[in-house]
Amino acid sequence: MLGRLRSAQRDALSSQELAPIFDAIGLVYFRLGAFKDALDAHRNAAHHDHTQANPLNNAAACLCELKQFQQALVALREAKARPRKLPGIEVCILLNTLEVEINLGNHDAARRAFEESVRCVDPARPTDLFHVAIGAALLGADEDAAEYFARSIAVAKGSDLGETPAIDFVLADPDRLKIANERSLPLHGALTRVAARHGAPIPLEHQLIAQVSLPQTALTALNELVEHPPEPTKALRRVFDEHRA
Amino acid sequence: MNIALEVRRLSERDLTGSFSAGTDADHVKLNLFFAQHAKQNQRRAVSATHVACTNGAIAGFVTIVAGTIDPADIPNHAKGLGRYSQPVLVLARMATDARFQRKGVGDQLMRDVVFAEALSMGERLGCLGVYVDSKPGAITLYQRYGFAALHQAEATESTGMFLPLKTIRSAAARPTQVVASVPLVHPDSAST
Repeated sequence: MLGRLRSAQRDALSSQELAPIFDAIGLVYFRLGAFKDALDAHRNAAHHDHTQANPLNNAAACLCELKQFQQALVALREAKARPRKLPGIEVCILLNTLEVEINLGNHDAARRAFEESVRCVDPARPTDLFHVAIGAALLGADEDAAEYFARSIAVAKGSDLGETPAIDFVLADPDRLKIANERSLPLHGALTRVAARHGAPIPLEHQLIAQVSLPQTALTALNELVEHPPEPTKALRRVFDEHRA
Repeated sequence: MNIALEVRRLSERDLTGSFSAGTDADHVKLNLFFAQHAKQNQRRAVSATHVACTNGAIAGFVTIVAGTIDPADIPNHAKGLGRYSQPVLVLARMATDARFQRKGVGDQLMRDVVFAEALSMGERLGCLGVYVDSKPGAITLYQRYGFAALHQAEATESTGMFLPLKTIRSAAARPTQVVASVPLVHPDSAST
């Protein structure tokens, strides 16, 4: 594969022809785990074609693998400034940004990137939804990861989630669950934790108290309030008055 | 400045995982409750959670439960309350996402959910008022609405607070229109 691509690279006549070849070479190196070579190829692609965000996004992914997070962030900012022609590229850039920000310890920035990806995700593209699920898992938002993975399955199957709990929907499709677990360790972790919580009793500190037991003095005070209710405070009146206005 | 909000019941499709009311211990507990247990409680019909949304993001939530004040184990129970459990609306959890604080989210959740449900419960089933176990940091907030402190639980550091339904009814009632029949003239302007 690499040989054929290198041959195509030699035969290419213009920058327009070279850019996609370099990008393809980069993808092959990335798959092989040769991230430095992949980075060089994607940077070459970005150099030959200024009209695409994709090569810079791919370069950022390589930098992320090489643990050069600051440089990855720069590449992603440059990618954002370029035209985003491929479907799903916007989400991809944002989710790579999320990963980089997490590695840089910027949790708020990572969360903003996640929320932006949620806003611009195409709800009809299972791949995008799957990527957002991985993003949520990286962020530690386990329940959101399960929700987006469930949505990706629902779209792929052409079914409606309705009010089905996301994890029920996910667990009902063991084949896709297995694939997801193999593709992303963080997603696997998130789904495992959500599934464990789903069937377990709610921890005591998160249980709600419906039966209020009060000492005698408090009951007397409560009785006094019920018998002689105080006039509404200004804030309480304002809450209703503003609504009427 | 207040923001436009849609207040509605929490749905299975709502994204609860990235909600963040803050990073201190109490807020982290609220974040966890909302992310992991609000839907679970609602599925089991243990409670109802409502969310305030803006531009697709959840700005705040409130969880309410139909509860009782239970004087049964108190031998000399307060005279007016009766011997048996009395119905109240329990405000179980409430939080505003850190990015939306001081934008009227709490006010709207209180009005559209807590007070509205208490008034409705009072009409349909009976309800003495709203009870909340407040964390120390939220006492002032509830006092603003007129909640009175009843007692402090040392074990949980929470303060039991109560707002009578009659007070809520009074605030919800349309105010009397006052129409001045004679134009008001400032005393100083009369001589000029």
